[in-house]
Amino acid sequence: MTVIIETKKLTKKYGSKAALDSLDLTVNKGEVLGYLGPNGAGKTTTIRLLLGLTHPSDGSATIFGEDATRHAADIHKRIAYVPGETNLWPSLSGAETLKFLANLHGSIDEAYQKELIKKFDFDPNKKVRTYSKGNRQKIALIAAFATRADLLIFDEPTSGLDPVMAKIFRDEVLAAKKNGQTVFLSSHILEEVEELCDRIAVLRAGKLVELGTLDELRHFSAVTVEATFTGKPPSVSGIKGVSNIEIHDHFLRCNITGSIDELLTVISKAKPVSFLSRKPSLEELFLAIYKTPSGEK
Amino acid sequence: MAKRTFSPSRAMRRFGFRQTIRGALIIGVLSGLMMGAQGAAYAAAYPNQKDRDAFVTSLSSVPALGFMAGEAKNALLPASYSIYKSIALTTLLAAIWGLMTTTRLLRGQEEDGRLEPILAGRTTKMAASLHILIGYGYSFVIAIVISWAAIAALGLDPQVDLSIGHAGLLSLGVFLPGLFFASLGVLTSQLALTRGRALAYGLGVLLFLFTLRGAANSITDWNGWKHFSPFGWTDLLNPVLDPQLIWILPTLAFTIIVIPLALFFAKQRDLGESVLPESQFARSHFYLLGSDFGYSIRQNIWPFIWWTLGAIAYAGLLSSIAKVGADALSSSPAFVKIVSTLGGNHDDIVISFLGLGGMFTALILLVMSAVSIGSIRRQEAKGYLDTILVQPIHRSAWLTKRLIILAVMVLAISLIASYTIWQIAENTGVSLDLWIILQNGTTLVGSVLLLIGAGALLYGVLPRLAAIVMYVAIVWGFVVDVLKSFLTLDDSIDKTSLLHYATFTPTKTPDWETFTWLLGIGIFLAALGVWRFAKRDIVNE
Ligand SMILES: Nc1ncnc2c1ncn2[C@@H]1O[C@H](COP(=O)(O)OP(=O)(O)O)[C@@H](O)[C@H]1O
Ligand SMILES: [Mg+2]
Repeated sequence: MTVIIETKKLTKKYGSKAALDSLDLTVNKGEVLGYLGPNGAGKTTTIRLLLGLTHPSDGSATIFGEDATRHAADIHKRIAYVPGETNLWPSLSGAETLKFLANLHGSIDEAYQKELIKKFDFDPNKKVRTYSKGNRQKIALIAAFATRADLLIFDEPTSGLDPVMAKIFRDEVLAAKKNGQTVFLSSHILEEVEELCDRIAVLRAGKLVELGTLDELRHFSAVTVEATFTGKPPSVSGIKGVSNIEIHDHFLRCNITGSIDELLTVISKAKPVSFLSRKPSLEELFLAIYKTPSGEK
Repeated sequence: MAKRTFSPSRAMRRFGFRQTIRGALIIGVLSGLMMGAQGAAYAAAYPNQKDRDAFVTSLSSVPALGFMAGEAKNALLPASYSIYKSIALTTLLAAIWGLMTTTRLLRGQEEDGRLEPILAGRTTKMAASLHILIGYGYSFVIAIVISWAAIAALGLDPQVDLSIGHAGLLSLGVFLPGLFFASLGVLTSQLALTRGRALAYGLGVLLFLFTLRGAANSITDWNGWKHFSPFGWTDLLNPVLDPQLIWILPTLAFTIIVIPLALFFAKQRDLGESVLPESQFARSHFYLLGSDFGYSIRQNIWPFIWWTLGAIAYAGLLSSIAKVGADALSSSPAFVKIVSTLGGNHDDIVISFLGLGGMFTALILLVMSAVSIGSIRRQEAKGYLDTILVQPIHRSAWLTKRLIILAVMVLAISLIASYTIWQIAENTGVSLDLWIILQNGTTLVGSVLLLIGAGALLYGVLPRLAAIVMYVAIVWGFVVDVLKSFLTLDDSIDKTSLLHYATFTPTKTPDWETFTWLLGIGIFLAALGVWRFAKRDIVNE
């Protein structure tokens, strides 16, 4: 497998605080990597390092086998990037902006660009300053997809888009993937991540805390158990691996990691009237990951 | 109730204050020095009443001088001399400052989308604007007080003998046009969709009213027109010789009418819109969009035109005065003294005035360089540079090209201004060697290129401070120039002033050696800056 992005102990410090702490990450060709984490986790910091806009305090990042900061201009011939907040010149029109960005990049697929303009239902005949945030986001997305670059980097790209446009974005990412392009997608939208990403990296407070396919992450994580009793629910707090206990009247909900044996015994002894065990929803999964103190699992 | 600890109006006032206080300190000190430091120099140059009378008589005989100066009668006393010498320039500076500040605070912030998150809270657009303006009001008062303090302190000199009260009126007189144009900027910020346009509307009015007052001063029959210009109202206020406090009222009345009107407009319109309608649709023009270099040129076309017009106007104005002045006054020894206190060379009256035109060109170019480096930094702060640098473009190449565009603009404007000076001299019957003038126009930009190099280095190392340090360097040049007029300054101090190198003598053989040094150091500093820039992080705001 060809490695597209590789970071080794990639670190960025602001003052004494590490915004990104010793990141080791590999992204392979043709893969869509979901990059998740709460606000301030260091997602944007990582992307700016990959783009060579900032310099690592320690460690290194290579893209296409070249150093991300030293050979930035070369690497960028094969990259397209869309930030969460687009920074486009207010006095240019949409059409002028697309033309300018295409010229800066060198070559684009013009037929595909036309198709994208239609798909995103974008009117290029206005000044950028008069576009809504969503429309400005569309310009950046159209320009990025139209390059058909080998690597697409997105930093929370759909934050200003309505659900219909967000769907079109997802379709285009899947098309890019089919096309053999690699995608690095920082996102907050779980639906998006679930539909698109082959692997997911979760960042918290600058540290990589999880990395794997969605199923792998689910496997490592807790199972949710819910049970209703005729009387008071039994006490489960002493059982190994149990967390997040909730009790309302006759109802008990808790999470369990590891062996479920002991918990089952306690519950069945207390004569449950209903019992349910399920995999956590994606949301619960991420809330759980985000909440665990860093360094622990 | 616990939520009361955060007050949006207080936050807005603090924002308005913080955004403006730096400019207020600079303009306060500068105007205080320019208005305060002239008296002692004058008293030394014209110790007795007979000299002073002769001086005023000769000034009055050349009304054209009044265009860039105050009324001649002010040259009668050391206490009021600064009004003659500097009032036009200081009121102009204060007016431009007021206009630039309010358009930036209101329309500029809105254009950048910075008002959106604020207005999502409990504040209305009208209230937010009002409190931002109140914050600016604090800075404005501080500027007046600083300038007052400086004028009063320098006026304590028994030779000058300016009372503290008169000093206060003088400072007020300087800042009233500032208030007028700050208010106008509040209005144009509502009328226009962009900060650039809000500023352009205001500058149009400003240039017209400044010219009106200048014409009223220089052409006796038109004297009455100054009643219609805020710059004229400061003349009419006559702060030192015979104060007419009534002339404070027109500016106050204007402010009291215009600001509520503008705030009313702010309430009526939607965020991101303007009172004057503007079509959303735009015809696209694809010229100069082929590369980042092309687009940098495209972005600089209008600024280049504006700066060129400004430089031509200034250089032309001084040069056209030259002949008239020379004809009327070549016999007056007092006149030679004014010219020399104005900062030119006193070899010959005409040449002095032409040289003054050259010096002003250099001054304009110095300011333009600081503005340009500031705008390079703004491109970075607002994230436009990200958009460029994530493309296959080398950082060092990007900055180098921007600097080259700036240097070429500087040189072109200087040559155009030199040619203007030559043409005007020619028209008024003073024949000069065009080749020599153009060479001098080239060597004139040495100090500007040095400043650009220093600015590029600062930009590479401390991007946030680059422009402000450049402004400070320019102001320092001014301060040294002013101090020089009443202190005997050590030569080495004089050499720290950029203006020291910005001399222009249309007839002298150009000083290529100094130019080469300045250019060489400038290029060296710029190269260092480009190198550092490529190594540092891109920092957004
Ligand atoms: N230029 C900077 N100076 C200081 N701290 C910064 C800078 N950029 C980011 N940070 C800090 O680094 C951390 C990570 O930020 P960021 O990468 O933007 O997070 P995310 O994109 O995941 O929301 C935050 O705590 C942020 O405050
Ligand atoms: Mg981010």
